[in-house]
Amino acid sequence: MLPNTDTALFLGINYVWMTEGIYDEDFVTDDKYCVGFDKWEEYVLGDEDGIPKTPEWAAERCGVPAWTIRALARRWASRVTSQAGGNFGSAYRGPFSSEPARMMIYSLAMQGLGNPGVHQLSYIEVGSRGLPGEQMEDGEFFPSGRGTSPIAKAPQPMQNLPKPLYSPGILNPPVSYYSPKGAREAQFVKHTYPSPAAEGGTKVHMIWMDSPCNTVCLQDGMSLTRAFRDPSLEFICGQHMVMEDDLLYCDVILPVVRMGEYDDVNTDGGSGSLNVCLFSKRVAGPIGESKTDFECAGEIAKKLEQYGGQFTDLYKKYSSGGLTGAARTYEELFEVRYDMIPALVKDMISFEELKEQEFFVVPANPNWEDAAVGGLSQFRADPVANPLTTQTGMIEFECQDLKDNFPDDRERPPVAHWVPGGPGWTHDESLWGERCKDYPFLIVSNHPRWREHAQTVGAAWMREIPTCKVRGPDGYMYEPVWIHPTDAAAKGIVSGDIVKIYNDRGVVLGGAYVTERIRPGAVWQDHGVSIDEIARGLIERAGSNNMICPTWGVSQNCLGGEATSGYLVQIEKLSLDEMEQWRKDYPDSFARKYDYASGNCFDAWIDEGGTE
Amino acid sequence: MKAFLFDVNQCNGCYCCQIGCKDEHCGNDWTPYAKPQPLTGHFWGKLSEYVRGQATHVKMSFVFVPCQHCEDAPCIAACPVDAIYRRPDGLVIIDPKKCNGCKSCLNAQACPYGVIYFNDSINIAQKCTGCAHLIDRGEIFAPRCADNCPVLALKFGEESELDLSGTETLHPEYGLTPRVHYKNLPKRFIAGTVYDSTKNEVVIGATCTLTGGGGTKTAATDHFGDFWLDGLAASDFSLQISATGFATKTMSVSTVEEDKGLPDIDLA
Repeated sequence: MLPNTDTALFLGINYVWMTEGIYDEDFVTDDKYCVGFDKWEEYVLGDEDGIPKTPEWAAERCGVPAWTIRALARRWASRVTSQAGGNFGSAYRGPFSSEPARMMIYSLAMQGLGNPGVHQLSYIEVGSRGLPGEQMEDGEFFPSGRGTSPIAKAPQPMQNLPKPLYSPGILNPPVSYYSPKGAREAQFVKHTYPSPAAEGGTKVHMIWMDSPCNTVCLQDGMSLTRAFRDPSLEFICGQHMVMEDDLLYCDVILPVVRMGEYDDVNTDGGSGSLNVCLFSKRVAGPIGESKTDFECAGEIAKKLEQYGGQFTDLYKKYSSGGLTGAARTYEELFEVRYDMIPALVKDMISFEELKEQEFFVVPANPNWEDAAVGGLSQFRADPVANPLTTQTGMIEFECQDLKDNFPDDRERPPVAHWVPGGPGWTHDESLWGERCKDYPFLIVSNHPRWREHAQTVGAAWMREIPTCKVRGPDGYMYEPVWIHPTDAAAKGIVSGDIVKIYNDRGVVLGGAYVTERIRPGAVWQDHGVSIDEIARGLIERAGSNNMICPTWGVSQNCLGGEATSGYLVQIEKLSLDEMEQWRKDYPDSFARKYDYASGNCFDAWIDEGGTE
Repeated sequence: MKAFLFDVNQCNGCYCCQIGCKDEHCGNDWTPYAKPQPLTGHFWGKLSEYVRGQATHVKMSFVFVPCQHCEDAPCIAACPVDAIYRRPDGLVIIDPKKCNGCKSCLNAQACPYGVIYFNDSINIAQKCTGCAHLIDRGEIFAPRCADNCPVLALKFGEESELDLSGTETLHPEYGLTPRVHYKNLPKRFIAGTVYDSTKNEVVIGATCTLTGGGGTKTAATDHFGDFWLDGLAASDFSLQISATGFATKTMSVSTVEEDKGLPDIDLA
């Protein structure tokens, strides 16, 4: 289907169910379980707007033939069906993605959500749906990765500038937003950055960041590079183990050890496979002056102590792991972290044994069959005793909170809608607006197949895999851009060509991978490769397409989700003339040291003494 | 005799075989069986991927191709300095100390499978050793590629103990008796969706009969109106689609060039 047209598909499917009577009518009209189904029915059948959302209507929008939509609707209704996805693609991280997300739930509800086998799950980021039983082998033996973090959480700051708003917040303050994160009530509190000065609010003067990959992982990285260079930002400190991405904008860099260069304790319960406690031993390094993240921050704390006042005993406060007592070293914190592993696991293996053995696979709870059933089964069994977190405690086809707080929000209305956007909306990123005339392709940009965001971007053996990198005629290893043969032919593109994907936010390069694995009208480029800018804020070479994704998140009043997939781009073969012009205009960008196997390396960013 | 067994239908294309080989051999000196593999550019155990058919009927197939450890390995005779030999267990080895870098084995006569690589930095020919150094150690009974395979698509062992029923070898016409056996090597397929444009519905249970390539094959369309006729020869076919209430439709389809995922077929 066309990226980010999922709502059209869901509407077509729901229309078939309603008109053919193949859904759980008793459930969706039962006022113990659901509210507002009549409103949804009015919209789907066209009573609300005069447009029945037939499979033919849906097919025009999502590109799936009407006969296939009918077949899918009937097949779904005739079988016990759950929804499972990786991250659900552009439906999860596209413009207005609140709408397909809600329609997923509507659709499950219409087929008896909470009945055996009628649930929703995610293959990755296990646990992200927040439903009981979502993680495998859940139960009393389940160790929590979060539980082993020894660092006391910083107190909630009095003003926030959320990640997706870094660039508008720094470049064009003030900005106001509603965040759909956290408790339900909190989602309807308007925040403004900066807070009023009388309340102690201030513009950001300094950034200190670890995991510095905001340009690569968040909204509109091109504008973020402008924000990082804005005169209002006086200082940026970054700490990281690889010279990449936002570090290139930092004033001071604290080098961090890589995994394997220090001892560490960890657990893995979120991958959906085995639950493991790990003691990962140092096998090399540390290299140069690199330290653990914990020690980097600790050294700053020690230096600050000389100023007294609020900085008195800062290191002790910082390093005591949120507990009372003496300052601790990094090694001393291991035992604190081990203590956070559930008691039943500790009965099976002592800390000394764990250190010796290095890993411990936690067995499944022997009583797992007695554990409470998962998903929404308990809600289904007794909705009064097990209410949902909605205002009514029920499945809300018409969301009561949205009705109360944003009754006229056309981008996230109380009943989910087909929201294509356009001029005057938060996003004009569909084929039903104006920008599509200049940028007619919808890009799919998923978590990468061969790395995690920018992590392991330089792994030489991965880069030899055909869908990991495409070697351009200039020898540079480009991030693949998938394009269908018919689109490629119309554009004169063949596999291996350097292509540029672009829109009004900037230009990102890639290597053409012409394939039947993507439909016409869509292109695909995984996101998250470390940036390699040819022209700062304008042209990026490595294929970090978050540099040109939309500036704002999901919708006007729904910021927290990203809109980093399913947006508009144009694609063209990059002409040799244009590349030659760039080489003349930006000679420094082409003079950087480049390693064929691993890409940009440390030396690429160092003026002197890099080789040492 | 040692042998590999690779099942195309089991492989999900994770590349752990290809990467495992590099982890075992890059930067590690396994003399007398192999000097270190270069960091990049060599694929002693190569996974090749094939995109088959046309949107929306597309399949991916992955085929693992290491040295075939042929019983009649022509590389052995092609080597003028007798650097290439077969061990008693069948693994074919290029002795890294004897190889003089003459490149006599780097052509289609000496190795029609094209699995011998040249290491410019140390001037010798190199290839898969079957991880003879691991086999000899006796603790791990598989080369690293097979040990790495998380879905058991790639197996290794005594040829007599492997389940070789229904297996094929690559290019049997070469007549070299390779020791790498394959299950479910991709053949050609013809697939499509059958629908009725008067109702905009798929046609379920339509009979799709394919004639040609020396035989006849039949499939019925499923709940999505889809039919898949797989395991075909590269040939010209006549496809006949019939269903109750519709006139029978006949069309010519060729798999000579490639697999065919047909545009949706209107039976009305």
